[in-house]
Amino acid sequence: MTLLDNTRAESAKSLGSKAFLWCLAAGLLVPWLFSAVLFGLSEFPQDLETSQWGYRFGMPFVGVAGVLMMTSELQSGSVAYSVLADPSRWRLIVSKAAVAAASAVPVGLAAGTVSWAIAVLLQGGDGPDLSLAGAEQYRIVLAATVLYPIAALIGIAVGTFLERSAPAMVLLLLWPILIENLIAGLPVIGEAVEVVLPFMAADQFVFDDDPEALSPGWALLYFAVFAGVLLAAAVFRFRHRDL
Amino acid sequence: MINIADLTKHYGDHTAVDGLSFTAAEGKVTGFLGPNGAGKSTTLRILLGLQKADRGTATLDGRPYREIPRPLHTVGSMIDAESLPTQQTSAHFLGWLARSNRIDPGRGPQVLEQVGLAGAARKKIGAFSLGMRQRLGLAVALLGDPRIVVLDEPVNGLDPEGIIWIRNLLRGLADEGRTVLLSSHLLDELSQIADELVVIGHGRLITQTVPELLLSDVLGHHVLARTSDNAALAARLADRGVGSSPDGAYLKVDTPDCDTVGDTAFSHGLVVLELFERTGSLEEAFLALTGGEDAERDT
Repeated sequence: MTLLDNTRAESAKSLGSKAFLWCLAAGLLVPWLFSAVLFGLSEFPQDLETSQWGYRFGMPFVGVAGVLMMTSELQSGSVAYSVLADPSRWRLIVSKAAVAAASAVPVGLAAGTVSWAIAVLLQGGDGPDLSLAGAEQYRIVLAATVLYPIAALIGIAVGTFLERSAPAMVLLLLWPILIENLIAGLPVIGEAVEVVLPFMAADQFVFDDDPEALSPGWALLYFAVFAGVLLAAAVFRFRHRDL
Repeated sequence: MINIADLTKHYGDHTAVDGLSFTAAEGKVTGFLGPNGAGKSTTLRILLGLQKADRGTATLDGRPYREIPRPLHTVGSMIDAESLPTQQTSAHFLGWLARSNRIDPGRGPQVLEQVGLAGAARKKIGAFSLGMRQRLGLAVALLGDPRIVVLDEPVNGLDPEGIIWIRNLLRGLADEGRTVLLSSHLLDELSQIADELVVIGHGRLITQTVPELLLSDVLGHHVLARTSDNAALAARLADRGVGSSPDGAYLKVDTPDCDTVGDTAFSHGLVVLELFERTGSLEEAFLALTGGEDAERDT
């Protein structure tokens, strides 16, 4: 048994699941739609950052794709068949994580670049410069290519812990969009804890809009380490779970 | 060869499996028998590496399941039919299972044909009847052409034709020298399929024996007689050292031998109206075994 065999099996499983593919599709379409609406309907010219604004709403769907890879099996008990096929529990999670992350890379790439292309097309020659002039501009447009796979890993971990699709999906959709903003908005403590909120760190990597927060590079590292720790905890939990 | 040794598993305060030991040999169908909740599924799930034992070992050909590389080639198993992935088609399901263990992709359609599901390969498992799910579970077990086959309640939900079919299938597997272990709470079915029975109750071994001996071991053999004067017959039998007790219209004689009873009655001029041997049914034996366990636990 190798990790490769397992990864092949997991990819066959995932690509055969309509729910998984729909989530990835939403991860693409939502940012495109945001870009189209913001640049197509706005009365004022928009900047390059705005073309990537929709990633925040697309990325949770990629996380949900990761969630479903775990919960669809844990909820029905069919995870037992995966464990019968390969009794190594860590290998099962790692191969699922590999498939989720690998599927998220092209989705993130297309989400970012096409959103940018839509912006350029709709804005025409007016307003702020949307050209990819340097490293910073590339980072903004390609950010989703890196962030989406990390979100998929977080999805795998959350799915492993919560085991049921509905609560895991609600958590993953609401946490980045709503809960982190609420926490950051709390008086006194909000500002203090803002720096440790993982999706705020992801935002910082894309937009670099908070001079007091981590630099984009460190923010990305923090987000990745957060996902890694969560995934390691999920492996630990799954190894000790009776099926 | 399956070897279970001193296996123990607790769920909180409840002891599901309690120091259980038994073996299942090559070339034999071993029936794993016990009432619902006796610890059969827990034992099999520990054997298959799905659960961890608190104490003891469960090995297949000397190794725990977790240590068998590409295990589907060595051990084929069927766990409860309810946990099959309902959103997948059976062809897709067997496809990724095969892929995970580098089993020839052609095996999927082959085993579906073997279990009579070739026509349902493209159908979602969620739309399967219980009987079809049981057949699919068997297809999963046979996928890797394994030396050891472990089946949890495979007879559940099968129609009479299906039961005969599974009986022949398992007999064939054992005749090829494979180890077959199947659990059931249905004693009649199991006694017809199994060469050997492992009976458990409350997670503990009650007996490991062959079906024929289960009856005589537990219930003993009796002769029932109805004569013109049962009391007189009892007295004459007592003279010959044979015990007996009244049982309704009958005299229950503690001997497996009808001849002694008939001979005694004849020599004392008693008219024999009925005379037959009784060993009791498997169900009676089963209840006597597991009921005794209950009584022991309750006190």
